Amino acid sequence: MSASYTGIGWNRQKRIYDAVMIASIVIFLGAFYGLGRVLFRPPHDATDETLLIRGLGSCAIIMLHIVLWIGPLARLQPRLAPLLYNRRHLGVGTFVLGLCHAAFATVQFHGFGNVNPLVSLLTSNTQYGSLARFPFEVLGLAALLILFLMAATSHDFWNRNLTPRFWKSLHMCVYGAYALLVAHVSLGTLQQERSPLILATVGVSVAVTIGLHLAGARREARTDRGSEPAAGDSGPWIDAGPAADLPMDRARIVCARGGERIAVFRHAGGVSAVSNVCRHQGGPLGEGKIVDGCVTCPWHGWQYRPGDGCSPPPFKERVETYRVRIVAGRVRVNPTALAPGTPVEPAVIEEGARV
Amino acid sequence: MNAADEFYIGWSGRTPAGYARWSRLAASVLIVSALVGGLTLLGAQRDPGPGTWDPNATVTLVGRVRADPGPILLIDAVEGDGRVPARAALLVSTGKFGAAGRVANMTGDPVRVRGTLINRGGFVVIELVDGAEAVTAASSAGNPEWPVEDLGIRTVRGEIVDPKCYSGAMKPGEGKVHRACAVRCLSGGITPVLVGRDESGLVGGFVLAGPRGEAINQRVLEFVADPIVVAGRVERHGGPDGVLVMRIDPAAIRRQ
Ligand code: FES
Repeated sequence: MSASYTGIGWNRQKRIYDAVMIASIVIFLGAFYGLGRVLFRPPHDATDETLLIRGLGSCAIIMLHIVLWIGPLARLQPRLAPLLYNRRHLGVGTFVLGLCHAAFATVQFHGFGNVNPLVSLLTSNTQYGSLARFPFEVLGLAALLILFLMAATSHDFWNRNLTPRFWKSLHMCVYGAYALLVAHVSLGTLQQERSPLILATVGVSVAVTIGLHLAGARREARTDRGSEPAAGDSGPWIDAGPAADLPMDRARIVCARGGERIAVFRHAGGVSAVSNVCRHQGGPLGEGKIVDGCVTCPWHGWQYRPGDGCSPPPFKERVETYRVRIVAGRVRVNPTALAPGTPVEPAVIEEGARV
Repeated sequence: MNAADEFYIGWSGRTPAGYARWSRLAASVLIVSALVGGLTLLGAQRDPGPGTWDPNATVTLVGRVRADPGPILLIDAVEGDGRVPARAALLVSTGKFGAAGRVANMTGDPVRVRGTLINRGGFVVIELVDGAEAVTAASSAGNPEWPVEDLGIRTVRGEIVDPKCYSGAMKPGEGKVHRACAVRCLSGGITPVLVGRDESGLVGGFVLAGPRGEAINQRVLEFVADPIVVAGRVERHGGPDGVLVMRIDPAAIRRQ
């Protein structure tokens, strides 16, 4: 692995990312407050508390949209990978803003009364049977708890300890949190505000979220349709296309019907196949590149040797490998996964093949 | 390295030109959209209402007070150079607490009241200062009568609010988003007020009480912030600039 690899730590990319994120949040909140003061003039002014609560809430949910949009955007345009690189910090930022929104709202609406504010939050309205009167606050609270779990486990320490599979499932809950927040807004503010502009803004945001995910999924589905069993071959081998068309240091992603995605790489030593799923957060290794002799994940740059699926020392991650051969100029892959880290001899492309 | 060969590795500290271009562009579009979206959400919000409240400007008022059908002060004089835009005011305490208990035994008595003024278009609420100095006996009352004009049975459509927030302590202090807060305020003893209009066009805040002037806070909680309609006897206390009081049977409240 590259000598410059510093594991999970701070680096220039993350610092730039965070600086842009924090500056944007500050500008957003400042603009929200400033314009709120200008638009709503005394005596028709909103209180500072109102502007703060609404600004924080708007900022949080808008940031959650950006978090959700970046995923499919980077799938559709791989050159947006830098946005994905430090997305966890956006997620943590979303949680912090949501927490501030919730804390101020709880103090404002439930504090200074005859019961504990948290008790008030859960008991002041229990009309769960009615959409018009539904206690929308509880939906926001549930979403915040999910975001908290995600933010608390966002560090790679937890990814490793909870196992990447569990971690990934946990972090898929972001869609649950998103649905809860859309409901929180729909059953809260949207029932109070009359402006079609607000309804339109919420509607467009949700539509873009769904649209981007559908577009991203369609792109993946093309890979997943499953490759044909190789013609004239006995056994389960599947066809992975002409060897000569495989660009140097890049991969083609194939998939046996109903099976896992496999990344078939061409590198200096020949053609090798490894699982397409990065051990870190499930990034698509097949969209990565061979760098310093290693398959390098496009999301955060984790690396694996193509010959045996092992990260170079001192790292210990391993992915499944697959047997490969070249028959009549076409790459064939046996879709039965070998145990992670199993060495497989690369298939050698004959002399004279185009690069 | 040609464009197709570019590859971004976050930890490497280098961002290939194509990646940098795309990411800068996308980040700018996302940030600008976020700003436009956020400011649209802000600009399209409802008017928070014309309520005003300066929690630091304490005034001293002289008048007469009663606890039934709500803690109401009829104002005879303002000490110092304050001005009160109404003849009658509803009394509340700091936080989300009512003030009925603090004037319970004073019906009709001349008093000196210290508090801050919360005013929405002439509907005035006074937040009493904490402690015993808020309401003290006054020596003289210029005008011993308590005028009540009977306006008959009226049907009013509107929303039940807590008058403190509605009049300017929170802006906005009404509607669904504010519902839980209003429930808290009414639970804490702040007298419920129905903001609405009757069939003849009488508009305003109707201080709600039971038929005998008793507090009905607990019984209206489930209707707070909903559009409702209810009929009851309406009285105006304190003359033309006074306060409207409506005596209702909470069981007769209907959602619209
Ligand atoms: S998913 Fe993070 S490096 Fe692969």
